[in-house]
Amino acid sequence: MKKYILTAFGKDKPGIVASITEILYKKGANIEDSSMSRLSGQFVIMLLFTSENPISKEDFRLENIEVYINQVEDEDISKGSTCNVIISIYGADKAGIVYKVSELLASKNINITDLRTHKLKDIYIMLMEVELQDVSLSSLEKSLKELSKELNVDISLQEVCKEVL
Amino acid sequence: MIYEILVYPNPILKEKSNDVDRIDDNIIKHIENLKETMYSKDFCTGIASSQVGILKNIIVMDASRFRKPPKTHHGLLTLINPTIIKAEDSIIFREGCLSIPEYTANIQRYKYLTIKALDEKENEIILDLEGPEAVLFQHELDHLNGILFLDRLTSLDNLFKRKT
Repeated sequence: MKKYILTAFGKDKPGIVASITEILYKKGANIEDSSMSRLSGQFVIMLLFTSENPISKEDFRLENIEVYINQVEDEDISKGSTCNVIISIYGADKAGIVYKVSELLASKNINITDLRTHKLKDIYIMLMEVELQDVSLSSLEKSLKELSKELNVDISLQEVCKEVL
Repeated sequence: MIYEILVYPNPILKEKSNDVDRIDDNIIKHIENLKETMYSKDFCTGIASSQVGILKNIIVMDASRFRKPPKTHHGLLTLINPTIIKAEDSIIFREGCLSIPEYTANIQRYKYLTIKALDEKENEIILDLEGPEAVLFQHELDHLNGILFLDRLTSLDNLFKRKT
Protein backbone atom coordinates (compact mmCIF):
# COMPACT_ATOMS: atom_id res chain seq x y z
CA MET A 1 0.00 0.00 0.00
CA LYS A 2 1.53 3.29 -1.08
CA LYS A 3 0.75 6.72 0.32
CA TYR A 4 0.23 9.82 -1.82
CA ILE A 5 -0.50 13.50 -1.42
CA LEU A 6 -2.77 15.09 -3.99
CA THR A 7 -3.07 18.84 -4.40
CA ALA A 8 -5.54 20.37 -6.81
CA PHE A 9 -7.15 23.68 -7.50
CA GLY A 10 -9.45 25.31 -10.00
CA LYS A 11 -12.14 27.93 -10.30
CA ASP A 12 -14.81 27.01 -7.80
CA LYS A 13 -17.94 25.32 -9.13
CA PRO A 14 -20.19 22.49 -7.97
CA GLY A 15 -18.76 19.00 -8.51
CA ILE A 16 -15.00 19.48 -8.07
CA VAL A 17 -14.78 17.26 -4.99
CA ALA A 18 -17.04 14.64 -6.59
CA SER A 19 -15.02 14.47 -9.81
CA ILE A 20 -11.68 14.03 -8.01
CA THR A 21 -12.93 11.58 -5.40
CA GLU A 22 -14.75 9.55 -8.07
CA ILE A 23 -11.43 8.87 -9.81
CA LEU A 24 -9.77 7.97 -6.49
CA TYR A 25 -12.66 5.67 -5.58
CA LYS A 26 -12.59 3.87 -8.95
CA LYS A 27 -8.83 3.38 -8.58
CA GLY A 28 -9.40 1.74 -5.18
CA ALA A 29 -7.74 4.56 -3.25
CA ASN A 30 -8.63 5.39 0.34
CA ILE A 31 -8.68 9.01 1.49
CA GLU A 32 -7.15 9.64 4.92
CA ASP A 33 -6.62 13.30 5.81
CA SER A 34 -7.92 16.13 3.68
CA SER A 35 -8.33 19.86 3.70
CA MET A 36 -10.43 21.62 1.10
CA SER A 37 -11.35 25.28 0.98
CA ARG A 38 -12.31 28.14 -1.29
CA LEU A 39 -9.74 30.90 -1.46
CA SER A 40 -10.86 33.95 -3.40
CA GLY A 41 -13.00 31.95 -5.82
CA GLN A 42 -10.48 29.14 -6.31
CA PHE A 43 -11.27 25.77 -4.76
CA VAL A 44 -8.12 24.27 -3.27
CA ILE A 45 -7.76 20.64 -2.25
CA MET A 46 -5.03 18.90 -0.29
CA LEU A 47 -5.55 15.27 0.53
CA LEU A 48 -3.61 12.28 1.70
CA PHE A 49 -4.62 8.90 0.35
CA THR A 50 -3.39 5.35 0.18
CA SER A 51 -3.67 3.08 -2.83
CA GLU A 52 -2.49 -0.37 -3.91
CA ASN A 53 -2.75 0.65 -7.55
CA PRO A 54 -0.35 3.22 -8.94
CA ILE A 55 -1.97 6.60 -9.46
CA SER A 56 -0.53 9.53 -11.36
CA LYS A 57 -1.48 12.99 -12.49
CA GLU A 58 -2.46 11.56 -15.88
CA ASP A 59 -5.38 9.72 -14.27
CA PHE A 60 -7.00 13.11 -13.62
CA ARG A 61 -8.07 14.66 -16.88
CA LEU A 62 -10.37 17.35 -15.57
CA GLU A 63 -11.33 20.55 -17.29
CA ASN A 64 -9.88 23.69 -15.64
CA ILE A 65 -8.58 21.80 -12.59
CA GLU A 66 -4.86 21.49 -11.94
CA VAL A 67 -3.93 18.26 -10.14
CA TYR A 68 -0.56 17.25 -8.70
CA ILE A 69 0.30 13.94 -7.05
CA ASN A 70 3.35 12.94 -5.05
CA GLN A 71 4.12 9.66 -3.39
CA VAL A 72 5.20 10.11 0.24
CA GLU A 73 6.80 7.93 2.92
CA ASP A 74 5.07 6.98 6.15
CA GLU A 75 5.90 9.32 9.00
CA ASP A 76 7.10 7.92 12.30
CA ILE A 77 4.59 9.63 14.60
CA SER A 78 6.45 8.50 17.72
CA LYS A 79 9.09 11.13 16.88
CA GLY A 80 6.63 13.96 17.52
CA SER A 81 6.84 16.05 20.67
CA THR A 82 4.56 15.35 23.65
CA CYS A 83 3.41 18.93 23.93
CA ASN A 84 2.52 21.32 21.15
CA VAL A 85 1.79 24.99 21.43
CA ILE A 86 -1.08 26.83 19.78
CA ILE A 87 -0.02 30.36 18.94
CA SER A 88 -2.75 32.85 18.17
CA ILE A 89 -1.78 36.12 16.58
CA TYR A 90 -4.21 38.85 15.73
CA GLY A 91 -4.25 42.53 14.98
CA ALA A 92 -4.67 45.14 12.31
CA ASP A 93 -3.74 43.62 8.96
CA LYS A 94 -0.34 44.39 7.50
CA ALA A 95 2.12 42.66 5.19
CA GLY A 96 4.73 40.37 6.77
CA ILE A 97 2.97 38.93 9.83
CA VAL A 98 3.22 35.31 8.65
CA TYR A 99 6.80 35.82 7.44
CA LYS A 100 8.11 37.48 10.61
CA VAL A 101 6.53 34.93 12.96
CA SER A 102 7.58 31.92 10.88
CA GLU A 103 11.09 33.36 10.53
CA LEU A 104 11.39 33.62 14.32
CA LEU A 105 10.15 30.03 14.73
CA ALA A 106 12.55 28.76 12.06
CA SER A 107 15.48 30.50 13.79
CA LYS A 108 14.65 28.48 16.93
CA ASN A 109 14.23 25.25 14.95
CA ILE A 110 10.54 25.13 15.90
CA ASN A 111 8.42 23.11 13.52
CA ILE A 112 5.00 24.40 12.40
CA THR A 113 2.49 21.56 12.08
CA ASP A 114 -0.59 23.59 11.27
CA LEU A 115 -1.15 27.16 10.16
CA ARG A 116 -4.32 28.95 9.19
CA THR A 117 -5.00 32.60 8.65
CA HIS A 118 -8.16 34.57 8.26
CA LYS A 119 -8.85 38.18 7.44
CA LEU A 120 -12.13 39.95 8.00
CA LYS A 121 -12.31 43.66 7.37
CA ASP A 122 -9.17 45.04 9.02
CA ILE A 123 -8.51 42.28 11.54
CA TYR A 124 -6.03 39.59 10.63
CA ILE A 125 -6.02 36.35 12.63
CA MET A 126 -3.42 33.59 12.43
CA LEU A 127 -3.54 30.37 14.39
CA MET A 128 -0.61 28.03 14.27
CA GLU A 129 0.32 24.83 16.05
CA VAL A 130 4.01 24.21 16.61
CA GLU A 131 6.15 21.44 18.08
CA LEU A 132 8.48 22.46 20.87
CA GLN A 133 11.66 20.39 20.88
CA ASP A 134 14.67 22.34 22.12
CA VAL A 135 13.01 25.56 23.28
CA SER A 136 11.06 26.19 26.48
CA LEU A 137 7.55 27.60 26.38
CA SER A 138 8.59 30.63 28.45
CA SER A 139 11.51 31.46 26.16
CA LEU A 140 9.28 31.17 23.09
CA GLU A 141 6.66 33.35 24.74
CA LYS A 142 9.25 36.01 25.57
CA SER A 143 10.54 36.11 21.97
CA LEU A 144 7.03 36.24 20.52
CA LYS A 145 5.96 39.03 22.88
CA GLU A 146 8.93 41.10 21.72
CA LEU A 147 8.00 40.44 18.10
CA SER A 148 4.36 41.30 18.79
CA LYS A 149 5.42 44.80 19.88
CA GLU A 150 7.43 45.23 16.69
CA LEU A 151 4.51 44.06 14.53
CA ASN A 152 1.89 45.82 16.68
CA VAL A 153 -0.17 42.64 16.96
CA ASP A 154 -1.36 40.57 19.91
CA ILE A 155 0.07 37.12 20.49
CA SER A 156 -0.98 34.46 22.98
CA LEU A 157 0.17 30.90 23.55
CA GLN A 158 -1.71 27.85 24.77
CA GLU A 159 0.14 24.62 25.53
CA VAL A 160 -1.59 21.47 24.30
CA CYS A 161 -0.17 18.22 25.64
CA LYS A 162 -1.01 14.87 24.16
CA GLU A 163 -1.76 12.41 26.92
CA VAL A 164 -3.14 8.92 26.70
CA LEU A 165 -6.07 8.76 29.11
CA MET B 1 -24.72 58.42 30.24
CA ILE B 2 -24.17 55.81 27.56
CA TYR B 3 -20.51 55.05 27.03
CA GLU B 4 -18.87 54.35 23.69
CA ILE B 5 -17.67 50.74 23.53
CA LEU B 6 -14.03 50.32 22.52
CA VAL B 7 -13.50 48.07 19.54
CA TYR B 8 -10.40 45.95 18.85
CA PRO B 9 -7.62 46.83 17.83
CA ASN B 10 -7.93 49.57 20.46
CA PRO B 11 -4.90 48.75 22.69
CA ILE B 12 -6.74 49.54 25.95
CA LEU B 13 -8.64 46.26 25.47
CA LYS B 14 -5.38 44.37 26.00
CA GLU B 15 -4.54 46.13 29.27
CA LYS B 16 -5.14 44.77 32.78
CA SER B 17 -7.54 46.62 35.04
CA ASN B 18 -6.92 47.61 38.65
CA ASP B 19 -8.88 46.85 41.80
CA VAL B 20 -11.29 49.46 43.10
CA ASP B 21 -9.95 50.76 46.46
CA ARG B 22 -12.98 52.74 47.55
CA ILE B 23 -16.53 52.69 46.24
CA ASP B 24 -17.19 56.43 46.17
CA ASP B 25 -19.76 58.53 44.32
CA ASN B 26 -17.66 58.53 41.15
CA ILE B 27 -17.55 54.73 41.11
CA ILE B 28 -21.31 54.51 41.78
CA LYS B 29 -21.97 56.94 38.91
CA HIS B 30 -19.64 54.92 36.67
CA ILE B 31 -21.52 51.72 37.52
CA GLU B 32 -24.85 53.38 36.68
CA ASN B 33 -23.38 54.44 33.33
CA LEU B 34 -22.15 50.90 32.65
CA LYS B 35 -25.66 49.54 33.32
CA GLU B 36 -27.23 52.19 31.11
CA THR B 37 -24.75 51.32 28.36
CA MET B 38 -25.45 47.58 28.71
CA TYR B 39 -29.23 48.06 28.57
CA SER B 40 -28.91 50.40 25.56
CA LYS B 41 -27.53 47.56 23.39
CA ASP B 42 -29.86 44.85 22.15
CA PHE B 43 -29.09 41.47 23.74
CA CYS B 44 -26.00 42.83 25.50
CA THR B 45 -25.58 40.60 28.55
CA GLY B 46 -22.53 42.16 30.16
CA ILE B 47 -19.93 44.89 30.06
CA ALA B 48 -16.53 45.06 31.71
CA SER B 49 -15.33 48.52 32.66
CA SER B 50 -12.23 48.18 30.47
CA GLN B 51 -14.50 47.99 27.41
CA VAL B 52 -15.33 51.64 27.91
CA GLY B 53 -11.70 52.59 28.54
CA ILE B 54 -11.83 52.77 32.36
CA LEU B 55 -9.41 50.21 33.74
CA LYS B 56 -11.22 49.34 36.96
CA ASN B 57 -12.14 45.82 38.03
CA ILE B 58 -15.89 46.25 37.60
CA ILE B 59 -18.37 44.07 35.71
CA VAL B 60 -22.06 44.60 35.17
CA MET B 61 -23.93 41.61 33.76
CA ASP B 62 -27.48 40.40 33.39
CA ALA B 63 -28.01 36.79 32.30
CA SER B 64 -31.76 37.38 31.88
CA ARG B 65 -30.86 39.19 28.65
CA PHE B 66 -29.62 36.07 26.83
CA ARG B 67 -31.68 35.32 23.73
CA LYS B 68 -32.42 32.04 25.46
CA PRO B 69 -32.28 32.96 29.16
CA PRO B 70 -30.98 30.14 31.36
CA LYS B 71 -33.37 28.56 33.83
CA THR B 72 -31.37 29.74 36.79
CA HIS B 73 -29.57 33.06 36.94
CA HIS B 74 -29.08 36.03 39.26
CA GLY B 75 -30.40 38.75 36.93
CA LEU B 76 -28.54 42.04 37.13
CA LEU B 77 -25.21 41.74 38.93
CA THR B 78 -22.69 44.43 39.73
CA LEU B 79 -19.39 42.81 40.57
CA ILE B 80 -16.49 44.85 41.90
CA ASN B 81 -13.01 43.29 42.19
CA PRO B 82 -14.40 39.89 41.16
CA THR B 83 -12.43 36.65 41.48
CA ILE B 84 -13.06 32.95 40.92
CA ILE B 85 -12.94 30.80 44.06
CA LYS B 86 -13.86 27.46 42.51
CA ALA B 87 -14.33 26.23 38.94
CA GLU B 88 -15.57 22.87 37.71
CA ASP B 89 -16.50 21.03 34.52
CA SER B 90 -16.42 22.55 31.08
CA ILE B 91 -18.87 23.88 28.52
CA ILE B 92 -18.43 25.09 24.95
CA PHE B 93 -20.36 28.25 24.21
CA ARG B 94 -20.69 30.46 21.13
CA GLU B 95 -19.46 33.86 22.29
CA GLY B 96 -19.79 37.27 20.73
CA CYS B 97 -18.39 40.53 22.02
CA LEU B 98 -19.26 44.19 21.44
CA SER B 99 -15.53 44.90 21.24
CA ILE B 100 -15.02 42.36 18.42
CA PRO B 101 -18.20 42.97 16.44
CA GLU B 102 -17.26 41.00 13.32
CA TYR B 103 -16.79 37.59 14.92
CA THR B 104 -18.25 34.98 17.19
CA ALA B 105 -16.38 31.90 18.38
CA ASN B 106 -16.89 28.59 20.15
CA ILE B 107 -14.88 28.85 23.34
CA GLN B 108 -14.38 26.31 26.09
CA ARG B 109 -15.13 27.63 29.60
CA TYR B 110 -15.83 26.34 33.08
CA LYS B 111 -19.46 25.31 33.52
CA TYR B 112 -19.77 25.82 37.28
CA LEU B 113 -18.17 28.64 39.23
CA THR B 114 -18.10 29.97 42.72
CA ILE B 115 -17.12 33.63 42.61
CA LYS B 116 -16.39 36.37 45.08
CA ALA B 117 -16.83 40.13 44.60
CA LEU B 118 -17.96 43.31 46.28
CA ASP B 119 -21.36 44.77 45.56
CA GLU B 120 -22.10 48.49 45.24
CA LYS B 121 -22.52 48.77 49.03
CA GLU B 122 -19.05 47.27 49.54
CA ASN B 123 -20.52 44.02 50.89
CA GLU B 124 -18.60 40.85 50.01
CA ILE B 125 -20.81 38.53 47.99
CA ILE B 126 -20.18 34.88 47.13
CA LEU B 127 -22.24 33.40 44.30
CA ASP B 128 -22.57 30.09 42.51
CA LEU B 129 -22.91 30.57 38.75
CA GLU B 130 -23.64 27.90 36.19
CA GLY B 131 -23.94 27.45 32.44
CA PRO B 132 -24.37 30.61 30.35
CA GLU B 133 -24.14 32.88 33.39
CA ALA B 134 -20.81 31.29 34.36
CA VAL B 135 -19.59 31.72 30.78
CA LEU B 136 -20.68 35.36 30.78
CA PHE B 137 -18.76 36.00 33.99
CA GLN B 138 -15.58 34.40 32.62
CA HIS B 139 -15.84 36.42 29.39
CA GLU B 140 -16.14 39.68 31.35
CA LEU B 141 -13.42 38.70 33.84
CA ASP B 142 -11.12 38.04 30.88
CA HIS B 143 -11.72 41.63 29.73
CA LEU B 144 -10.51 42.86 33.11
CA ASN B 145 -7.31 40.88 32.55
CA GLY B 146 -6.80 42.17 28.99
CA ILE B 147 -7.82 38.83 27.48
CA LEU B 148 -10.15 38.63 24.48
CA PHE B 149 -11.92 35.52 23.24
CA LEU B 150 -9.51 35.54 20.29
CA ASP B 151 -6.79 34.58 22.81
CA ARG B 152 -8.76 31.47 23.74
CA LEU B 153 -9.25 30.13 20.21
CA THR B 154 -7.71 26.73 19.62
CA SER B 155 -8.75 26.46 15.98
CA LEU B 156 -9.96 28.79 13.26
CA ASP B 157 -12.68 26.19 12.72
CA ASN B 158 -14.18 27.64 15.91
CA LEU B 159 -14.32 31.20 14.57
CA PHE B 160 -17.37 32.52 12.74
CA LYS B 161 -18.37 35.70 11.02
CA ARG B 162 -21.16 37.31 12.99
CA LYS B 163 -24.45 37.05 11.15
CA THR B 164 -26.52 39.50 13.18
